[in-house]
Amino acid sequence: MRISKTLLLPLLLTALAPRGAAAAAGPWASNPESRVRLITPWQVAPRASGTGELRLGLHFKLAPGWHVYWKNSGDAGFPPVVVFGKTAGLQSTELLWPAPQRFELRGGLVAFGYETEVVYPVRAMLTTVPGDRLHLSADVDYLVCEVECVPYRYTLTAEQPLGDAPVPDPETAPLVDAWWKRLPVAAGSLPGVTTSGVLQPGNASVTAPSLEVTVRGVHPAPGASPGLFLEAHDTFDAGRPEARTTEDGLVFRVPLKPHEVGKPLPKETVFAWTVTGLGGLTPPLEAKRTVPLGTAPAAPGPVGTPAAGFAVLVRPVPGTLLAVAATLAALWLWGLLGAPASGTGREALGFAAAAALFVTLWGLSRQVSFVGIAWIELLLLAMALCAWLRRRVALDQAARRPALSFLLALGLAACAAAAPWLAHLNRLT
Amino acid sequence: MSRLHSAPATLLLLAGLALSSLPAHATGAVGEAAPAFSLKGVDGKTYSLADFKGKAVVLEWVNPNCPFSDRHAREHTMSDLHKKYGQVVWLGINSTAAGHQDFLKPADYQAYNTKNGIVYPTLYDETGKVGHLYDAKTTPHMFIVDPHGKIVYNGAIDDDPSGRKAKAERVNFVDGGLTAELAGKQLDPAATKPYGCSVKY
Repeated sequence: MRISKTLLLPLLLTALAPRGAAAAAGPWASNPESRVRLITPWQVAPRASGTGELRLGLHFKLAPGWHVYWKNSGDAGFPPVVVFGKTAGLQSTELLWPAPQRFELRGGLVAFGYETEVVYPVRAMLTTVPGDRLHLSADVDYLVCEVECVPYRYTLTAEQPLGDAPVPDPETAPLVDAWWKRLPVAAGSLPGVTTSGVLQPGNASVTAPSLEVTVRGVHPAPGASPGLFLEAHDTFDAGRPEARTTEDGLVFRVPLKPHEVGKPLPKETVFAWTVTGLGGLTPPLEAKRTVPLGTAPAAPGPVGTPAAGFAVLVRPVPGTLLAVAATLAALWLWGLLGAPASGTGREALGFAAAAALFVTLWGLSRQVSFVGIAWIELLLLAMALCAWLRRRVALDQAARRPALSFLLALGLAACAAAAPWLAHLNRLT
Repeated sequence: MSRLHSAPATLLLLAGLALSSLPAHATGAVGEAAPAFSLKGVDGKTYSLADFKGKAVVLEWVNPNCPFSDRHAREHTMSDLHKKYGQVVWLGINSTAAGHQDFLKPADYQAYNTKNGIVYPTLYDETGKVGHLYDAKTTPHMFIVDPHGKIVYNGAIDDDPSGRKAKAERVNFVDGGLTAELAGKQLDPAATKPYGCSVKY
């Protein structure tokens, strides 16, 4: 069997590593929901002369369904807090945050974090370390949640041998490296990529102000699901971002809820964000920008949804007025065969239905985005078309009427089901 | 025939009415009027916010099965403040859904409160309606309502999510807020990020 040079060198170095080399990872602290330890990528780390960087990792393995948190935990929870103990040669440490994922919680709440396994990279800066070992110790507080949440606190340790001939650890080095690669990169560091934001005031249909984040120079791969994660802000809570593609990149709109009402929006404010899911070889991006107050509210639709195009049509029109128009049109068509033989009964029924729908759509227009309203209107129009067809068919092909009645009822049911779902989907919470 | 035709319209009407009953957009933001509510307590009595008009009211979203709420109960964080500010009304609100594993029946709840020295009313909001009106997100999540019925604080109980600090070292936002409120001063901060378990709607 032939062993390549690339494999031979690490094997030899591993075999020659000094005793205690297995201490590239500290012992696990375990509980039913999670395990956590300190790791380094080295069996023998390079001895620093002067100031040098040592990459560490806070390594979690999580039971199925459980998660730990990003630096903005979302609506609940809190991110891990790591305090390294003072030790000779350890100058400073910085906990870093890989791009997170989004978790949907009960009641429309959301959390941002990681499941299954995560290594939080830690950048340690070393000065000259006396002796041949770095004694690492860190107090870690973290919260792990599924349906329930359980806080834990451990003191984690690791012994890092130092030497002039560094030896990477075959287990932890790839792990640390992989998670360092999942750290977002500064948007400005990628050629041709820029990002900026505008704070948009609300309007009659989108009552909340919003943050519009533009990312230029990125082109999400087919099937990619771009995501935007905002860091916590002193003045606003952030809602669910909606994304749309443009010719030169992406635009996200995030509804914002001011912590205090009655105060004018700031002329400018600082937001920090991370963009994920760009697909291909594009890494997650991060940026911190001073965002000016804009003047024209925008309402982009989600990437790739059929409603996105429709939203463009309704954007200049207040959603409520369009909803009323669509409702009246639908009911007028429906009223052609709307039912009770007596004219008075039919009109009363029509008025009642129109009033109920008007109230409904007006209410929804306060919570649902333009896209949501567009979906409702499309469903209404589809129902009206169905009713019209039903009437036409009634004149000559009575046999098909039950099928059309079924379609009509199906449309109604879809409308009834879609509306609260959209309302939930578009909540600012 | 006419009955057949009226069925979809009736369905439409019912759907419309059901949808129109969706709650208005929730905010619970500082500066807004505190949404009115009337809820049954674990003691079987009914409590309404309107009953306490003219008094400052603290609303504490709570879930004894949440480790954060439980820690504060064991440390008497809330009950000590309740004693300290005797002129302030303190209401615990539990928005845990009735079918959720965290839901506590009245007898169990009263036993828990007694064990932890909690003497202020704790109210059931098992439909989550009031929680959504206030946009309550975590347990604990704290609100201070001034005597005029306006929300003047929304956020965390203190600055120590992990509970690492000694009690005396924590910045208790509700303590500071009540002191300012009773002195007629502006609360600072008036809003913070609440921490804890998510409300089990």
